[in-house]
Amino acid sequence: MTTMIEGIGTPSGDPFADYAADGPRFDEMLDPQGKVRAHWKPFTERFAEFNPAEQTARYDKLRRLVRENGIAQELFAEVHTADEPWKIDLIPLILSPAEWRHLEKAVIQRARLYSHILNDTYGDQTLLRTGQIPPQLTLGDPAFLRPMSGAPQGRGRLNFFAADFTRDAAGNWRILDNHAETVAGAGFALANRIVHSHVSSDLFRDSRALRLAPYFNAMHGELLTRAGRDDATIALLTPGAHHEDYFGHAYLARYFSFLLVEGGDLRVVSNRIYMKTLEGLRPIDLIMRCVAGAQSDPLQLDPGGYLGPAGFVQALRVNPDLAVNAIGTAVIENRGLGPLLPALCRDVLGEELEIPDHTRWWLGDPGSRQHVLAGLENFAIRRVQEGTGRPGRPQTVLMPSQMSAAELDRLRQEIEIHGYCYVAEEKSEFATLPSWTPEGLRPQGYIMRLYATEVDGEYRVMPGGIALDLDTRQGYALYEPEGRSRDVWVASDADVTQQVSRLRLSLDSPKISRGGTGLRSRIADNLFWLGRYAERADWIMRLLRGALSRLDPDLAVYQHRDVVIRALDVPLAKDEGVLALQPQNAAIERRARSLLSGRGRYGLVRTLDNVHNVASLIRDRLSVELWRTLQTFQTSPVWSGEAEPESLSEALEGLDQGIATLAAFNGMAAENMTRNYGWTFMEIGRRLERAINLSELLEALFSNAEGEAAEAAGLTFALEVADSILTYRSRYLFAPVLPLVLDLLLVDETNPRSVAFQLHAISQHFDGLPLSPQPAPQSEERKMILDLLTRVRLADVHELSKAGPDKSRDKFKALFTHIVSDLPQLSEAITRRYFNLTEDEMKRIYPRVGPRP
Amino acid sequence: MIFEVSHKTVYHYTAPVAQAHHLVHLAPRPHPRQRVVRHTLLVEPVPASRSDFTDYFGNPASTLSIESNHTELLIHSRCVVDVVAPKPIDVKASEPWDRVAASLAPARKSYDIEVAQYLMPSHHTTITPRLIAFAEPFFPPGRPILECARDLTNAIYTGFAYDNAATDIATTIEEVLSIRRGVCQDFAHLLIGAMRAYGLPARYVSGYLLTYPAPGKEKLVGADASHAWVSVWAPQIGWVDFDPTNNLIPRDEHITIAYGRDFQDVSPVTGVLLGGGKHKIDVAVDVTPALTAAR
Repeated sequence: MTTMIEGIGTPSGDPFADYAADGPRFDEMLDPQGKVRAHWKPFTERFAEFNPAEQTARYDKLRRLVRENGIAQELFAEVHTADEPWKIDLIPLILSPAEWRHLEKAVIQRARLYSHILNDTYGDQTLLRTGQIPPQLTLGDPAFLRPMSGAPQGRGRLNFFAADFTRDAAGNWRILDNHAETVAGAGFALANRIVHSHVSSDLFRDSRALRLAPYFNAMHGELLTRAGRDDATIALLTPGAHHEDYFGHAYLARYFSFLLVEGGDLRVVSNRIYMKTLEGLRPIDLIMRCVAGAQSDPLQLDPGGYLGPAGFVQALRVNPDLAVNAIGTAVIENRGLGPLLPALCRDVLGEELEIPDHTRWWLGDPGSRQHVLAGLENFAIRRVQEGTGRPGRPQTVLMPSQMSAAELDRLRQEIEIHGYCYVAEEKSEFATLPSWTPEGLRPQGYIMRLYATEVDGEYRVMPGGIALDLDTRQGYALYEPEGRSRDVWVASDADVTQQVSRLRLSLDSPKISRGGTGLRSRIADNLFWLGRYAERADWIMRLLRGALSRLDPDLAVYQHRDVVIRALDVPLAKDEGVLALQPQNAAIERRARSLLSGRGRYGLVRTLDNVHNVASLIRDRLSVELWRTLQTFQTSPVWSGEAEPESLSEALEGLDQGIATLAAFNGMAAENMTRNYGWTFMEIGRRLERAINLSELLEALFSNAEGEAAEAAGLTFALEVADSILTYRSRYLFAPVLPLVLDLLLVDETNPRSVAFQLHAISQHFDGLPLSPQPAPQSEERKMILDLLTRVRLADVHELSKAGPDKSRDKFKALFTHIVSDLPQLSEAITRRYFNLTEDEMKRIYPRVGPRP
Repeated sequence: MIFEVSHKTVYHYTAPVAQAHHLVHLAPRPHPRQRVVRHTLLVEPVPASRSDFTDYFGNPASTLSIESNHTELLIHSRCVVDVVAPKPIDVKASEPWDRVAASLAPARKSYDIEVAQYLMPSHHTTITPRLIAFAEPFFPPGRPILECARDLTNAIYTGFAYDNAATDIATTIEEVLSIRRGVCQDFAHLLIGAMRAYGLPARYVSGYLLTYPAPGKEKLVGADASHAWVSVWAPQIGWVDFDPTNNLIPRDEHITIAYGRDFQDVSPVTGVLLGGGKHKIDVAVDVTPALTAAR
């Protein structure tokens, strides 16, 4: 308001002129007099020059970039509802140089303190013996992993660390949560920065904000040093695509050029860790652990945890530097430590604690418990351990003030029994910062996550971070359910123009490396299915286009609708139960609708979901363009099954576009993917799917001889769906007849749409694969492909076309029954041979004590 | 008393196991009343790597990894131990339980961490309101801690039926309290849980017990089994064992293998397999008094 009176605000929509802090609370941008703080001015002055349209344009661009980069797609949530899962505010959080120095010091102090606590907890336990940390707190914490005790630790247990900061109403910083288990979303911070600085490079420059690249370069250098070899293999161990932090893991792995692996990819042999590849085991030098410590080894840790390889703990006993962070670091995340930190910092480091934790009571302490139980309604109750993961994930907070009497009784009892598992916190106020909306700025509560990493024995803090919207209306820090994230800018008082930003990190002595080796079985499996699902989507679309284009009664092809019905029933029949349709009027429409918008297994919606899901699982293997092309299906309402096309022409137009998109995907894959085993498996998948679909269609349409006109209609339809009508016309001047169509679609190895072409291609791909050094067809899948290919090559199209007196084409039937039943078996044989590597799931066995029944 | 123990575990798999990691707690743990004369561990097929180490609780343990395809695995542990009976214990002379609990509660200036280790609930000893209610009559104010433990031991022995078909390794204390049956492992967990519910340290003891054949019968080979009981801590006195399955304070016929918070810490043999299909386990334990005649 003050700014308006002074006339600084411009009528052209300067959003800062109208922004007012929320009551007396501390605001990041405005000082208590309502003036913009000095370190915000370069930003606000430039931003104020943008008219509302430009602001909106920038925000839209930001949203588009987020979508295109697929930040934080909730992969297996409802694919279509997660339309905008990750939002970035146009306004960053800007920190002044002085403020930053304080925060930096505090983060480093924390990391040093925690590092000491970890060494003590897993070593002599002096802090427990002296009661400086009550033993109940640590010994009752499931994050304390006893098998990790005593292992000599080469370079320290805590390599990366993050802390969540808030300010109280007076502007004092405090720490809400600490993260030591995984990188805690550092990948999101990096992605946010890259996306945001793309949109606001001018503002970023004006604010003289520090760049992140030097931090990540230093982190990379440290990890290479820890790995101990020049050409070290470093792997980021992730729980997998189902995990909420997966995007961050994939992003970071790609940024560092690390392998992205899951527990099932790894194997411990003679206390060394290896990655399973198609060619055998490949040693790993360092694991960047982004899975919960307790879940890292089913043998010695949580028996139900399979996020790491069995034998991991023993491998770490032999070589403790094999993993960062060490397993067991989550024990410092225990919120009950908070009240003890000021004393611990004095005792352990001989320093005053720079920034304390948010005020809390650990309910394992009898005095604190009594205090809290005496006025339970005034507190919020949280668990001491909640795990980390994607920033902004919902947290569990119990609100006694909102509980029924019975619920309160249960909570009291639970606190009496398991108090050591809980902390209580009082209501408090939180500082705000401006959040941009098309209607103007509004004050928003927030939390700020800062990151540190150990480099050469000292901690270094990322000059930036990530801020997240908080819902502070209840007086507790709760993540806003639909909240935004924002970039954190550290204004510098030095000149920052010389800093170089590099997305790719340059290494001292780059080595030539050709792809193609070391493909993980899991990824081969996913690429195989990506090939299959993409081809299936293409086929269904062509089938639908052929069917729908025959719906216009004015067209000659409107006749012989039963041919189309039989064709559509091929995919529909694979869904048991869906085929309750009767061949009556409007049967084509109903079938088409079922395939187009229904939820059947072979319907387009499910097939495109499958494409998306398997592609997500191998995101790190697909180029940005390939990924974006596939994303088209996710962002369009036509393919989500929600909006049915309003007219026939709209449906046909949609199908044309869909086919074109898939063609673009295939073309890009052919042009841009290196010809390694991954590509080979995608190709095999595509070829196999095409062979299956085409032979099933031919079998459905031509097993029995129909009238001449009906057969002609069927032949045209088949040629059209198989995209071979032009080829046929260029070869023959007369209407399609079965022998010639069979020649073109079944046996002609020069037609890229024929069954023989697919089989031949698969056979050739097999020759290039590893694990098949034996001379020719010894393995199961090679025998099968040779058998199929030979049958097709020897097929006499004229003989096949002959029908008996009952109109049945027996030879045709015999051949196609064989093909149609063998192809899916071929798929299974490939799976057995290449993807499973002779192994079942891992399992844990226990005999029990005492005689067995 | 000197014993020879043979503990043979054989896994039979219906499909080849491609890789197996096993963790074993089979070597007897030396303690003031137990001297380990000899221990050998035979594994077939021969593991590609074997690491012997001392676990967090001070027990000897080994990891074995087998890298070759196998459909059968033999783990045969043999040992000779010399066990001495404890001095007679006057349970009434132990400190009152409530004083012990208070001395171990949070906000003290020093802790014996080897005792505090066994204070907190663990995977198999979750504390529930029902468990607290079950144990309440045994903890009147001022009662000596070992008397509480002895009375609980007696209550479990008389109130619960030994039934090796009623429970499995996943059975919780809560279920045992409701069905009132179980095996040694369940009874041990129950007693431990009851002690810990009242702020008192108790640990799980894994081991063997000398058994006698029915009168007039020959003792059958392999008829013995792994056994489990409980150790309760009392100030000045130290750890005192209680066997709720047999309602006694062990003397020199209990052979100690390992201490842990519960079964999961010290399971004699456990493994993680790749492959193997279904499996069947045969376990044969023989505890034989040796050189008794010479004594």
